[in-house]
Amino acid sequence: MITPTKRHLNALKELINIGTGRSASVLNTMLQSHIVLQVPCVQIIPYNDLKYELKTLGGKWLAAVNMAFEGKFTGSTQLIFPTESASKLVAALIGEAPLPMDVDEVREGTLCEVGNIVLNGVMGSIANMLKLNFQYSVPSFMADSVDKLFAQNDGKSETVVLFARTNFKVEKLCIDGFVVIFFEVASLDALLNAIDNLIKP
Amino acid sequence: MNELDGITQKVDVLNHVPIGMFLIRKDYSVIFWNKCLENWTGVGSKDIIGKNLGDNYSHFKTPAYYARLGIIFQGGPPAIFSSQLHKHIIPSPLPNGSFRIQHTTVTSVPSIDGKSYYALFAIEDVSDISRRIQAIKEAEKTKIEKEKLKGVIETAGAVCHELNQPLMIISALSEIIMNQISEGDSMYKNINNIFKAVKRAGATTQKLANITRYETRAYVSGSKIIDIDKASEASSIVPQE
Repeated sequence: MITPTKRHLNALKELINIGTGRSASVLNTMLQSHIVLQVPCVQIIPYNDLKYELKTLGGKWLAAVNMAFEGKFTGSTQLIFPTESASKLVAALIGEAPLPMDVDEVREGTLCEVGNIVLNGVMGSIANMLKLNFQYSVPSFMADSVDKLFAQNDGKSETVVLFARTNFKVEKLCIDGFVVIFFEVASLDALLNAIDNLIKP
Repeated sequence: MNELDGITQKVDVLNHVPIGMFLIRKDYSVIFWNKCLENWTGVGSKDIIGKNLGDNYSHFKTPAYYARLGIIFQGGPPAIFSSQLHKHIIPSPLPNGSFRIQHTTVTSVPSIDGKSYYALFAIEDVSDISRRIQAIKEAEKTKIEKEKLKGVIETAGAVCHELNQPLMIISALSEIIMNQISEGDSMYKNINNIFKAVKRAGATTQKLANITRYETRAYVSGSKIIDIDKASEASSIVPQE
């Protein structure tokens, strides 16, 4: 496994920032409201550390939009919110008072669309800048406890995670979210090699 | 075989699905329009195939759609247009005059010649789900109002109970004093004012006892208080025990 360097992480942060910047622009145009999307930090962590990070930063219950991809490297990407933040974000976007997530299935569609826009921006930026082609699944929404949300990855010691914390600033609200990309180790190596090709002097 | 014939053969099965589906080229010309959409919109495939989608549905010419569909034509990830943010991407009237509420997924499909990508739209009718959700929201709102009203009525009942007896005593004693002194007495006017104020207070406690709904009015510093006049008017909302 290639060990990610600071240059790799800086390049990844820039790629994700370009992607979220494009996503914010699309959200602004579509919703005619001022949305700022910031990515303050990017880390590559073992899968087993992800749950700890999310429980610490996001709480026990999460809402996530998931999109799988296949190509030169394979994995899945998720936009994750603490459920309360997810409810607040939807309320801010559609101008209704927050309701508990479990009584409002239609709001899943709204979150799914927002997640889709953000993840498309991030994956589009990675694919365009690194000149790669992927095939994607249709995005899906999940809301569950941290443990159940990622149960499918349990026991896969080869999984590593690109973990980026994001801030959605919508009107007066500042809502935390997390962009997470799951890779097999071999796929991460392919990504880091592609970054090396991009940034080589 | 030309492009349209090739497409028709490839996607004919989509004429038999209960969701609206259509296919457009990068220049937004329609190359497939399924039977379900024909039924929903009343627009026949012969009337729209070959034409620019934006000419029939002008919102597709706005930047919000161009930006997202542009990625599809490059072979990018699927795009979702949710029912909450878009309501109906292809307006389709229902017999009652309202429009079908739609959830749309757009995916990238390689073109027949393999040199570019088409955008395939799949539109689900979520009108029933949306109505059920709306009913749940309204039921939730009514439940919250009933709970608030129950609290208001219990508080108002306690206030009436505690105030009525002292008010009655003040009222009765005021009347006794006024009967014992002449109208010319310097005290008479003051006692009479006490008597009238107590009657007004009594009328207010009567209104409190008649509260049947939750109504508020603005108060100082942006706060709200119960609007006793409106809340005690006849209402259809009755708190449940």
